[in-house]
Amino acid sequence: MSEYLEQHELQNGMRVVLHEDPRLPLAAVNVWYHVGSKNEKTGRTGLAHLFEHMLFQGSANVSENGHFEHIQKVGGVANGSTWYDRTNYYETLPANHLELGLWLESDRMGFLLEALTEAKFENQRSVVMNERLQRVNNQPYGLAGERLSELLYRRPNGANHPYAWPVIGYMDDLEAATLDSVEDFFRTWYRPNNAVLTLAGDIDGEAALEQVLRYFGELPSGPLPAPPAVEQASEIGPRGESREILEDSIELPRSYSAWCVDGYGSDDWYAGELLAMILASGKMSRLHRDLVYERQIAQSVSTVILPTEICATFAIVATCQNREPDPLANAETLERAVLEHVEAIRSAGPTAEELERARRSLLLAHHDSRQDLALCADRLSCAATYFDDPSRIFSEPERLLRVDREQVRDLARRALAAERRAAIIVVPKS
Amino acid sequence: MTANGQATLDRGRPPVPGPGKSCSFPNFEVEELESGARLWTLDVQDCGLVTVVLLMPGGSELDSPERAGLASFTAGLRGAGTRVRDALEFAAAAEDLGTAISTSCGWENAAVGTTIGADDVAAGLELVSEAAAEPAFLGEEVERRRRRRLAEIERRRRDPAAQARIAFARAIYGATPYAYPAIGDRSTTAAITREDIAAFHDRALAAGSCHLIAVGDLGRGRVGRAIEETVEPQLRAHARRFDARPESLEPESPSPPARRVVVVDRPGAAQAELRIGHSGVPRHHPDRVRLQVANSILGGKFMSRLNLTLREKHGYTYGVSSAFDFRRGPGPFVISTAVANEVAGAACRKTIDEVERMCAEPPVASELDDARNYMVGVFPYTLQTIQGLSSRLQTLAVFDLERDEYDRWPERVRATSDEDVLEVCRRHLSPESLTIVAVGPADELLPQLDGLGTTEVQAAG
Repeated sequence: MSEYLEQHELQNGMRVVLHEDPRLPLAAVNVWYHVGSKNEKTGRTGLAHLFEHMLFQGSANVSENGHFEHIQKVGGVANGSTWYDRTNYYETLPANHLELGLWLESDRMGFLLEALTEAKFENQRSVVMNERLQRVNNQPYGLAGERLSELLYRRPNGANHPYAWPVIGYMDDLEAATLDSVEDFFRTWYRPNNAVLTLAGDIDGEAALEQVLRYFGELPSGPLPAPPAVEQASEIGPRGESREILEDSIELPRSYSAWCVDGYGSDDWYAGELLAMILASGKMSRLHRDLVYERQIAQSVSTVILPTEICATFAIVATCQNREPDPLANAETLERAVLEHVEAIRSAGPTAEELERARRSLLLAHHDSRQDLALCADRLSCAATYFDDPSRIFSEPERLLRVDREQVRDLARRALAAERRAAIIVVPKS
Repeated sequence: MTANGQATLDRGRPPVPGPGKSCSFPNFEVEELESGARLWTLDVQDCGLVTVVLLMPGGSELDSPERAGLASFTAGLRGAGTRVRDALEFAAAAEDLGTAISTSCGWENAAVGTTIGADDVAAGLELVSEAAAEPAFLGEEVERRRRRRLAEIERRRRDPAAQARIAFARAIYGATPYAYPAIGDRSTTAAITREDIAAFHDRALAAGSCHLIAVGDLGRGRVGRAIEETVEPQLRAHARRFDARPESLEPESPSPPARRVVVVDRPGAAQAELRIGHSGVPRHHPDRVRLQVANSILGGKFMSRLNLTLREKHGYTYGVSSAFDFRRGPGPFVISTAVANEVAGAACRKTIDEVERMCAEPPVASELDDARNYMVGVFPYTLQTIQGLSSRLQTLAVFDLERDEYDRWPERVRATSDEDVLEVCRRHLSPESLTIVAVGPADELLPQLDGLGTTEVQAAG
C-alpha cells in the first residue's frame, strides 16, 4: 500500500492530517477535540458527552437535523463519541462530497452558539438520560464498572481523580445541567487550537489542504486551560485493597479486579497490553484455559487495558458459570483463582511461548484494523492528538515487539499488587 | 473546479460536489471442485491477509422443537477437539499463528473460518478443514459445552434485550423453527445427546452443498493450490448433496388479524425494551429491494421517520430502528427500541401511527430521494475489508443468488418509485396485526398499553 501521510498546522493552531488511500471512492473526515469527561468537575459530570449530542443539533448555517440530513442524503454515514480524554466527530462520505464534511465540521466548530436553544437542549438531555438508562441502569452488571472506577480513582485524600466518574455522567448531574454550562463548555474547549482534523481516503492531499484552509483558516484560536498532568500510576489508586459487594438483577455472579498502570503510549502500557492478552485472550490464555476450560468455574473471563492519557485502568472480569449453591461463595472462589494467576505471573512472568502468541495476535489485529478507512482516520487523529505524530500508528507494532518477558513481569509486579487493587463482586439480588 | 483559496467562501449553503465515481463489486471467481463444493475466490492484492470461510449445511432452521439448539450446539463443537488434536492442541495450533478458528451457525448454514496472515494460509486451511470434517465430539467436550450453553441461557433470563427478542419470536412464529432461540432452552439443551450431535454433523457434511470462500491476498493461485491440497481431500470423502429442508418456515397468520400485546414483567426495571412487528418476507421475495427502500424511510437510518419522531421530537429514547430480516423463510419485520417506562404507551402509539402512515400515503419526493441515495451511497463501505467482501459472497452462496446481484442492486434501488413504496407497504406491513412486546415493570406498563390489543403477561425468565 502506498503511503501518503502529512501533518500540517494552520495559523490558528488546528492540526490537519492528510492520508491518501484511493482503494475505494470514499473520504473519511475525522475531528478530535482534546477534551473529554476528565475535564469536567464533580457535580457537573456528563457535560462533555451531552455537549457532543448538541453538536448534531445544527449550527449557524445548518438546520436542526441538518447535519445527518446533509450527510445521509448523499450516501454518507456520521457519528461522534465521547471518551475520558477526547471527543470525536466523524463522517465517511463518497469522495466527491469531501467538501460537504469540511463545511459541516467548520460550521459547528466556528458557529455553533447562535443555533443553540433551550428546546434542543431539553430534547437531547432526555435522549442522553435514556441512553444512560439503556447502557447502564437497565443493563445487567451496568453499574458495576462505574463503581469499580470510583473505587480505583478515589484519591487518598478522598478527592476524585478525573477518571473516577463515568463518561456518560451521573443521572443527578444530567438533571442539573444547564444550557449556560453547555455554552461555557463550547467557549472553553471547542477551539481550532484544541482540535485535530484528519482527512483520509480517495483525496488529493494538496487540494484537500487548500479546502481545509478556506473552511477552517479563519476560525479564531483561543486560550485553553492547562490539561490535567500525566501522573505516575504508582501515585494513583487505592492504598490497601478497596473492595465492595453489589447486588444486581443478574443470574451469574461476577468478579471485577482493577489496577492502575501508566497511561497510553508509555512502555508500561504496551507491556500491559501484552499482559492482558496473555492472561485472557484466546483459549490458551492462562485464565481461560484454567478457569473456563479445565476447572469450569468461569463462564467467561476477559481483560482490558484502557488507552487513556493520564494513566490507564487494567481490569480483569470473570463471570461464574453457576450461581448455585451460594453465589457469593462462587464469586469469591473465582476471584481467588484469578488472583492466584495474577500472583503467578507477577513472580515468574510469562513464558516465551505465551509472549510470542500474544505478539502475533496483536500484529494480526493491527494489520486487520488498517482495512477500515474510518477506523484508520480515527487512529491517525488519536496519534496526532496524544503524540503529535500521526505516523505513530504504523510504528505501534514495533513498540509491541520490543516488549520482553522481563518487562511484562516487572509491570505485573509493580502495578498489580494486592494492596493496589480495586474490586467489585456482583451477586444476584436476593 | 472553481473552488480555490481565493474564492469568497459562502457558508450559507452546502458546497456543490464534483462528479462522483461509480463503485462496482470487485471481480470474483467461482468454480466447482471435484468434491462438488464450490470455491469462491476474490483477490485483494497486497493486503497481507486472507479470510477463509467454509460454509456448510446445518443451520438453525433445521432444529425441531424437541431439539431446539442442536444446530448451534453442533457448530460450536467443531474445533473443540478433532480426530487429530484435542481441544487445547487445536486452539494452540491456531493461536501460534496469531489467530483463532471461528465456528458459527446462522439460520441457513453453519460455518468454520479464520482470518490469517497470507504466509500462514496453508496451515490455517488445514485447521479449518479439520474442524469441519473431523470433529471428535468427545463426550467430555459435549458436556463442557452443554454446561456453558445452560449458563448462557440463564444469563439471558436477566438481559432485557435478550428477553424481548425471545418473547417476540415466540409470539409471532408459533411452532416453526424461528420461534425458538437458536441456542435452544433449558430442556432442549439438556435433552440433546452426543449421538444427536454426531448424526446431525454427519448429515450436514455434504461437500456438494458446501462453499469455500477465500478473500484477500491470494498470491496468484497459491491459496487455490493450498485448498486443493488440504481441504479438497477431506471433502471428496463426503461428495454428496444435502437436500433436507425444514418442514415449514411459514407461521400461520392470525385470523382475523388482531393486535397483540405481550408484557414480560421485570419488576423495578429502569426502562422498557420494546419490540413491535410481525413476520416479514423471505430473501427471494420479488418485493425485497422495494421493502428495503420503504424500511429505510420508516426506521432504517438516523433520519428515518421513527427516529425523528421518537428520539429527535419527543426524546423518548436513545434510538429506534426497524428492519426486515430476510431469511430463507419469512424472517421478522421488527421495530426495536428502549424507552423510559412512563412513555412506553405513547412510544408504542407513535410507532403504530408511523407504520399506518407508510400504508396510507406514498413518501414525499425528497424523502424517497434521500433514502435511495443513502442506500446506494453507503454500499461501498461494506467493501472496505476482506471480511466485508467475504460476507457479501457468503450471501450469494447461501441464497444461491445471481453473480451480478450487487451490480444490479443499485439500479433496483433507484428504480423504486413512491407508488412502489406505498404498494409494498400495503402488501407487507400490517399495522392491525402487529405484535407488541414490552419487557419492563408490568404494573407501570399495563395501564399505558391498555386498548392496544389482546394482552398477555409473562414472568421474566
